[in-house]
Amino acid sequence: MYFNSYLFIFLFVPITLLGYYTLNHFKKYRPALAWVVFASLVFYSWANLPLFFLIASSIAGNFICSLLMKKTGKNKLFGILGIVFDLGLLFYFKYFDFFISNMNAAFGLDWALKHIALPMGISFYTFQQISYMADRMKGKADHYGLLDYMSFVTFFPQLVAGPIVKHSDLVPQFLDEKKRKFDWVSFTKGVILFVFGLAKKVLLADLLALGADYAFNNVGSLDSLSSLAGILAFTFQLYFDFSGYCDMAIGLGWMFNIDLPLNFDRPYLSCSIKEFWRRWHITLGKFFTEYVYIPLGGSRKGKARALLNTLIVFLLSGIWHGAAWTYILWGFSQGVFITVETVFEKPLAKLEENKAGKKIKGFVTFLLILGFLVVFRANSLADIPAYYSRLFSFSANGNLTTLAYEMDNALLHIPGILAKKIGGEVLYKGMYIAYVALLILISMILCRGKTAYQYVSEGRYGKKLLPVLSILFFFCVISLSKVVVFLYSNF
Amino acid sequence: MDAEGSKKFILRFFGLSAVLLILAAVSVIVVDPFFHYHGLLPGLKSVYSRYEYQVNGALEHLDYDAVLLGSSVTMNINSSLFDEAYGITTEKAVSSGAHCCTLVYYLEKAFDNRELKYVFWGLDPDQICYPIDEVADQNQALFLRDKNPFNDVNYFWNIDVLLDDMPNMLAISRHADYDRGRAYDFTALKTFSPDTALATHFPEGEVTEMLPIDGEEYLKRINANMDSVEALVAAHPETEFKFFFTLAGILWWDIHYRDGKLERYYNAWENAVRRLDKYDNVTFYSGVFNDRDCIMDLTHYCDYCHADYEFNQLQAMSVINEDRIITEDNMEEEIEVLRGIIKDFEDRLIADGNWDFLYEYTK
Repeated sequence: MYFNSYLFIFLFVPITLLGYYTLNHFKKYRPALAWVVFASLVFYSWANLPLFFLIASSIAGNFICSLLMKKTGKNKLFGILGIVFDLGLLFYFKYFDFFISNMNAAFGLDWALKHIALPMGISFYTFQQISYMADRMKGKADHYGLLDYMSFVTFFPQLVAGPIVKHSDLVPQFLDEKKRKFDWVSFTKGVILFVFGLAKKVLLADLLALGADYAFNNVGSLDSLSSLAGILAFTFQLYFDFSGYCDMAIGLGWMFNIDLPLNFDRPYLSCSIKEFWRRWHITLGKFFTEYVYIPLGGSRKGKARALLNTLIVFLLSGIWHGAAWTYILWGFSQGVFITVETVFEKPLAKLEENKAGKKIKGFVTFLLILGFLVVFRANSLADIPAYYSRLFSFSANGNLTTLAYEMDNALLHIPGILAKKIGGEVLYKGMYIAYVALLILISMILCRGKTAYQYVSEGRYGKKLLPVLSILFFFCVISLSKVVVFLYSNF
Repeated sequence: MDAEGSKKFILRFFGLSAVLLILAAVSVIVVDPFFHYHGLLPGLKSVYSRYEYQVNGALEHLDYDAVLLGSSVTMNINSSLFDEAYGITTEKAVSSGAHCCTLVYYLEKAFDNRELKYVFWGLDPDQICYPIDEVADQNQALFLRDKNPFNDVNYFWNIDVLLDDMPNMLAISRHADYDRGRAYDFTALKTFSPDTALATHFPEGEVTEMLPIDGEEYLKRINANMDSVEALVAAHPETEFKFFFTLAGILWWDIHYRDGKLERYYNAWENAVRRLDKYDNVTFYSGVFNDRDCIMDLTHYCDYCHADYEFNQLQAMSVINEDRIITEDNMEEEIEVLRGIIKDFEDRLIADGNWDFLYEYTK
């Protein structure tokens, strides 16, 4: 089930909330928690029942390891066993075919591919459980009861595409009796943030996706302007898609009076790639820092080792995003760039001392992000140089119009008929190109301003917001019949 | 904002959103541009723009006593020509790349809802060669076909319906000169020229050996498809079935010369005639399927296959004028003409080594 579906919005969420608060109202706290876990499992396996068995196996494996740690005291042994189990599942379901196809290519083998469809959210809940295993090994986490543990892994707002939540962020909140009472303020904030997130996804990301998909699926026919529009469209699509999802997740959490961690903090305003990673997918960055970078020695073993550790972290981040060489190259190139930034930290920091320098640095960083995202989004390694060559070809073949038509929107149809009548084909084309430019401009402005999370957290919602929010929600609902899946649920 | 303020805010939000959504749903249900719930309201015309969404509802709720069945090569025929010639009202039941089972599904639906005087069927050989067990009506939006009323949210809360189809229907209904016979006609959106047609043609690889016409799987498909068509023909002797062989451009024939399907396609047509010609209520027309000028002149094509409005009307007029009726006796002769055109083309292509000679056929 997806957040951007009628079933989820009009049936699943109301029924789940009603059951949860009704049971809590009658002080049936454990059944209330069991209800949320049950609903989350229904959410996860709605369209694909085998997913239930997968997540159940994953939970059972980790829970048993944790239990054995408690019973035997052999934390290291069973912790490692648990982590190996998690990585094994992830490898099999996410990387097996990639591994086999590369082995076949490298050694001329003919091993059969399994064609395994990537189970939704596996990267997220596996990492959450790895963090729990690691904390159990270090003695930083207690063994939870099965229901509490399941609530941590399965809580549906964060199950499919994060944020990557730590057990210590979630379980204590579910156990806190004060949080079990319906809270109008938290619920209202949750609904508002959910609608903002939904609007980001449905009204922006999904429209931008049309342009990005066109550009990256037709690299050979692009000119400079259309390839620039294509990568800009993807850059904003990715942000609105994922941050929209996270806003919805946090909003849903608030509806249950549960706080989920922030995952985005205006990443496109960063003045360096390092800063970008402190603002983008924050919980993934924290996971890698705490469970990979620091255990590898972090910066405690000298500068060279710190740089190597950074490279390893970003290589793993690339692999985490998907089983393709494009992701690996993307992760690695980010790592290389961050090591370069670290080496030249002082001269680069000087640039930020004045306003103009900071702006230039921010602009250059944004251009670098665009450049890296070409690698991230390209359909194959061969498409990467091809895309850059189209981008820097300084050619114009009118393909921008085709890209603009691909980003068609029902809102444009009546103005389009009028434009054709008044100004013929030229005005019609111009209208579509202006629409693409406007969409990108709006995206830029929204990326620079206050985030939806900040806006709602500050409680700045008054009467003026009411019609805006209702209209946004209305347009989101009537746009849901073209359901487009979340990008990060595929990672 | 405090708890009381939040409560007021959120309740008002739910109220306002509910009003907007109910208004949207009611307006779609009343205007009903896909004819899903009811026939036309007074003052409205049936405005056809998306066959995937409208054919099903139109067959169920609009008034008609004839249907025009076919794939994209039949879609651009003006059904008003049939209406004027026979004094009937024809409803188009077309679908791009339609399988035989799709058209049978449409026809069964039409017979369930109306008494039909005529069935005009643009028979392209692909239709009969598709597997019978594939989902019928695969191009059609399932939410309009299934019996689950909850799925209707995809219709009445649909941005395209609300901001495009509905206003379009309301606006066009005011135009007196709207021709419903041009339902789903896509010729106005296309450019027709040899250059555009050739730009869509990418012949690849070696010419494949002709596929056998006695292959088990092929025979199974063709027999199953023809069984379902024959059952309908036999069950409705009161209805006149007028089949016509559809026109396709030479580049389409070139594709199937290369993939080895030509003989199967000829055989599919022959099979249809053999199976159905014995019924009194069935007539086969050649249309212009083997007219050299129509096949070769790429000025009238927008791609490798689809002809312009003018050529499409020639197909309809051939039926109306009753010229070149195909029977079991002359069908091989008629197909031989087509075989000759394709052979001449392939020979010339080999001799010249390029497509330039095709410009000789343009007028």
